[in-house]
Amino acid sequence: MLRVTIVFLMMSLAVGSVFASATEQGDGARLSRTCAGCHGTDGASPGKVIPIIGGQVEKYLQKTLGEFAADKRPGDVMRNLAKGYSTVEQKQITAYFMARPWVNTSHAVASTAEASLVASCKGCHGSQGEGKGSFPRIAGQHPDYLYLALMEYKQGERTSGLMKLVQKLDETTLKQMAAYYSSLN
Amino acid sequence: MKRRDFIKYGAVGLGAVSLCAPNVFAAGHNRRRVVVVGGGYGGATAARYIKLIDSSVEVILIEKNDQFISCPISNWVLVGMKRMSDISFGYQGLAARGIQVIKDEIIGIDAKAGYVQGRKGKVEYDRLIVSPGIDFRYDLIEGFDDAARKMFPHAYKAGPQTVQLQQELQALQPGGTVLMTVPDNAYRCPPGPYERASLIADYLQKNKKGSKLVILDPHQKIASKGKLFKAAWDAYYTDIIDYRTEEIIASVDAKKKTISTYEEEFKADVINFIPDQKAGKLAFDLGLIPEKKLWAPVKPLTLESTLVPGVHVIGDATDSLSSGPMPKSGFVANSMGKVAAAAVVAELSGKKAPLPSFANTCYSMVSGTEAIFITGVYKYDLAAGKNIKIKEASITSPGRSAYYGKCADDWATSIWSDMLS
Ligand SMILES: Cc1cc2nc3c(=O)[nH]c(=O)nc-3n(C[C@H](O)[C@H](O)[C@H](O)COP(=O)(O)OP(=O)(O)OC[C@H]3O[C@@H](n4cnc5c(N)ncnc54)[C@H](O)[C@@H]3O)c2cc1C
Ligand code: HEC
Ligand code: HEC
Repeated sequence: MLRVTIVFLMMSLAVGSVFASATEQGDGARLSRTCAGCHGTDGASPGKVIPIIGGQVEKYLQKTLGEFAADKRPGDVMRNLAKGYSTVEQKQITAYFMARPWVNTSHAVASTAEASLVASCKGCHGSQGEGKGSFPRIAGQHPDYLYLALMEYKQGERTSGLMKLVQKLDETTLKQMAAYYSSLN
Repeated sequence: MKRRDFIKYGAVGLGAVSLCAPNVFAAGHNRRRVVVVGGGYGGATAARYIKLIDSSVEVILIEKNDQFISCPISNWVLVGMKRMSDISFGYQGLAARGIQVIKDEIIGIDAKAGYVQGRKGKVEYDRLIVSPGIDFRYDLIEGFDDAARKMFPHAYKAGPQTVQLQQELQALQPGGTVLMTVPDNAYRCPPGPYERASLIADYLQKNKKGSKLVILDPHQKIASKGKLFKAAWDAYYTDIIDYRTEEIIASVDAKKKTISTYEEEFKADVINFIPDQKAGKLAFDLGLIPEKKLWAPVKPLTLESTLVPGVHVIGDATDSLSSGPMPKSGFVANSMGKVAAAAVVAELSGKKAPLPSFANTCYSMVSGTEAIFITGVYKYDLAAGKNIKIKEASITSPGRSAYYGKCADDWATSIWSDMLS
């Protein structure tokens, strides 16, 4: 947020009118504001089951929005809402959220698990669960949401070849993993 | 732009009120003051987003109540699922962002001179945003005197009447009768009365054995999310809910504690009367409502009044024929607050307002745990010159679920922080 404000200030000094033309950044902000009703201002969702999306990796945001809109991903409100935006608009929206700071969940569950619990996850989600490329950030996400998501992969509702490994894990382990990642920053 | 002078208030004696002189902006280019009247879903959001978009704009929020009390989730309070303290919030979050919060009731305007008049003082503005909410059309019904208003609470503006209805429900004897009326269009939160009916039925079933809920509805069928509500009522409440359609109330009698249609008189232990509605009185007082009309017409791009230049109207008070096919909901009022904020900030800098973008999602509880929902996305259609609904995005949930109930709780937490933090 702060970074963006400064950029705006400098730009307005330099060229005077930043808002005059509908820049991509401008459209991203404009279209993303309605998402705050559920995902919190700038995607820093304060709830428990609605995921944090501000600061999420861009490719994953794009993939999920696109799949919601095409009915290729389990989802409820999102399958409806995503259809309200064209592919170009979805890109503007995800570019906006990608550039927001990630704000950690305030519902983190203290975890006593060893890091070895999640050894099999690090290769893709990063050593601290920070996400990279098309692998989503999972550190600092709401524990209830992480658990729901993991169960969706386990039960085959979310189809992802790369997440098949969780099908072998039991619910207690998944719950521990959700707690573990929720408390990582 | 002419120099705005001070806020003409004496020592009003409010903790949250900062009386620092607006002369801090006397340097010239920064003389941009937006006054927002009404600190509900629309107004609080607008005030907050002006600051988020451009913190150099001076923002003053004028609200007549000490606290914001949320209508969404107030149905949960009626049946003890939440407390009043869960839905009541102060304005300190907005004050901390540099927004001056003034407690007063606005009663008039001089749009030429550019100020609004309150009961305690007057405030000048460069741009005005008003989000007055709704008022009730008691005048349509014979006998709706002060005694009747007390006897038959609406509980449709969250506050003392929410508490009253909650206490009446609690005091009901098993085997008693509750009666509620549904307002005719247009009214705030189309599924609101049906959510309330569902929660009251659930409460009676669990706590007041043998009790009944009579619903008198002027519509031909449930006016919102009909199939989903009906499915839940058929599954859970067939022995409790007595749902009657096309019932138009003609009169009430506080002495006899009865309400009557043209054909029938009804008695009940608890009567929740939700009257027909119109824009909040403030909108009428400021000249924002045309002769013989009930809602405020606005320009679809900026939500500026078509009657009074420089004044933007948002939320329930807007006329949906002009603003677009959005329902009167807190979600939409929040959307509108952001659209008006962006428009006002742009126009104060001599720029064109960005295109508007609106959305809606209303979750409704159908039992103590399960919810249903409806979504909507709305955009400006350049060819048509108005805001339209994107059909594919505007549909109901496939069914009801406890997961949606959790999302409803999250939604409230989220939108409150998006308005007030
Ligand atoms: C029981 C119930 C359940 C609901 N559930 C939902 C839901 O689940 N989801 C949803 O999206 N919506 C819901 N709604 C609808 C939602 O409450 C309204 O749509 C929303 O409050 C509209 O916002 P607003 O800003 O137009 O009005 P309000 O939020 O009512 O705000 C108006 C504000 O203006 C102030 N004011 C008025 N006149 C003056 C004056 N002259 N001077 C100073 N201040 C003044 C008032 O005190 C008030 O604070 C529900 C409503 C009810 C009644
Ligand atoms: C009514 C509440 C609501 C609104 C409004 C909403 N979302 Fe969502 N969002 C959810 C929920 C709930 C989920 C979980 C999936 C589901 O149930 O549909 C979700 C999931 C997501 C995800 C997937 C995140 C992940 O980690 O997998 C993305 C991305 C997303 N939303 C983006 C958006 C964008 C962009 C908008 C605005 C255009 C938006 N949402 C508006 C409730 C909402
Ligand atoms: C081979 C790479 C890979 C490995 C290993 C992996 N993941 Fe994933 N994970 C992914 C991908 C790709 C996605 C996104 C898939 C999709 O589109 O649904 C994902 C999604 C997730 C999500 C959903 C995030 C959200 O916001 O909804 C969670 C939670 C998750 N992984 C947890 C884990 C855990 C815990 C482990 C270790 C047990 C793990 N993953 C191992 C690749 C991997």
